[in-house]
Amino acid sequence: MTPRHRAINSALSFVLGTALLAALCFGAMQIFSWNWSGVWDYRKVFWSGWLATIWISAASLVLSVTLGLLAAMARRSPYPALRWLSAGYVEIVRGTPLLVQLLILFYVVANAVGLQDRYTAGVVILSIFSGAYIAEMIRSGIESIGKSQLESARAIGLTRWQTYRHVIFPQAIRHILPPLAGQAASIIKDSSLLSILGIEEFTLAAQQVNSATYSTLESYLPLALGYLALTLPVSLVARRLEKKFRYET
Amino acid sequence: MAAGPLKPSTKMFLHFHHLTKRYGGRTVIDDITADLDFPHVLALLGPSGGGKSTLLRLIGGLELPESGSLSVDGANVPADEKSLRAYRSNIGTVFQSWNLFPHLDALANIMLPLTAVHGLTADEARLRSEDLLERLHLDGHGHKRPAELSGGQRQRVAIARAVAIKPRLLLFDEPTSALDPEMTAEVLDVIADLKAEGRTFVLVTHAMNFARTVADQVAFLAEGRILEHGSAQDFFARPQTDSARRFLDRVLKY
Repeated sequence: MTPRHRAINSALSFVLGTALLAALCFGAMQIFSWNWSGVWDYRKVFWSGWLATIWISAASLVLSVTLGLLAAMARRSPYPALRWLSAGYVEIVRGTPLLVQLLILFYVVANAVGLQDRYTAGVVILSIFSGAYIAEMIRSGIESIGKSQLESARAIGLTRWQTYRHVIFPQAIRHILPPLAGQAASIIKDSSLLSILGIEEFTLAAQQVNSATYSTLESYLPLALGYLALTLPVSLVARRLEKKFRYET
Repeated sequence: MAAGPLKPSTKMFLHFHHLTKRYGGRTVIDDITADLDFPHVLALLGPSGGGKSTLLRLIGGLELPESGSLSVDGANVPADEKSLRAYRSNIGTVFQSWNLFPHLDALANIMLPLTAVHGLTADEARLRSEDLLERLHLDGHGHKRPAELSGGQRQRVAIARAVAIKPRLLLFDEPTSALDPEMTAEVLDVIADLKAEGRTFVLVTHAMNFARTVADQVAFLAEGRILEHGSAQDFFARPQTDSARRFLDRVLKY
């Protein structure tokens, strides 16, 4: 297909898709008796909830990447104790649902430790959860570096740390970035579960609006759109980064 | 005896003392005791699987022997990782598969050991690397990544990287085996130039005519043992053992 054909194709698809969506919305408009005004009164609640979700997701991303990095390095450490600790962490966290971890770590552990601040607890628990997945991404990214390169690094006299810094990480980045971006989107979506703990983020906000107005769809549709507004840009950034790091080997 | 940077001298001495290396159950180097000295070039020849590459790696400090010891230029090759790293940083290695780092361009590949291991400043490293690129007919290619270079060019960058650190000893492990005849020639030209410059190296190769031209000494390895060694002239003209004779007949046939 020539570029011109492709452009016409995309344009047509876009127009058709938009038209279909518009028709659906219009049809839905006619069928339901919507109560947008009721929900509109609570826009501040939505807004602060949305912001809270952004905060929580950003903080979790930073913390979970740190945790994941530490766990991945520990997995490759020459000390068996560190290796087992890391493997145990990853397997247990990946093998249990986030909900279960939230319940145990908050109602049991946080209580015992005396951690009162729900936000902090929520961010930490979400980070522990995400960190395990990121650890695996980082580990597989590192292991995708061919052995001959590690040989070469050895042969020229690089230390372990130098090898990581000059050889492994610059190359592992391009393997790690795409799944990592997916994980960032997952964090944003998984943060919705923090509503269980009464943390005032986006999902809880929508639930509060719903219980106040009894307008369920009008409360939850903006919720979905709000999450999309966060995850779609993440996907776009991910794709751009992917392209940037692409080169032949 | 700890190994420091190798001292410059006129001849290179390699001494193996009951050297043994095993991989899993297989004995690859079988109790080798030998003294080899050569002014510039030692060629390790022999059939595949005979142990040439392994011996080279032992000399380069990339493997540790199961038992026995070896010394290069009078200094024992160390056994602990830290001293080994220092030892390795004075030896330049070029392997069969170009193992340049694909994410760095040619210039950066050559500069990396200089700045990271040998403490040169970025400017000093760049100067030396660019000079080498020019001498190896690679000027203009410094900013290309390995994937953008031909096989012969990649090997020449690998040679530049090995030579840039001003090593006392260079090790070549079948540097042209993966190249087509034309590229093989351009790389062999470079290696011949290195000899003319007075550098010292150990060469494992199947390019037999090249070995005959460039080697001072030859060691013939088969089944993990050095069956014979001596001057290159003698080896090619009058091989002493049957193994060597048969090997040369086969290899020089075409």
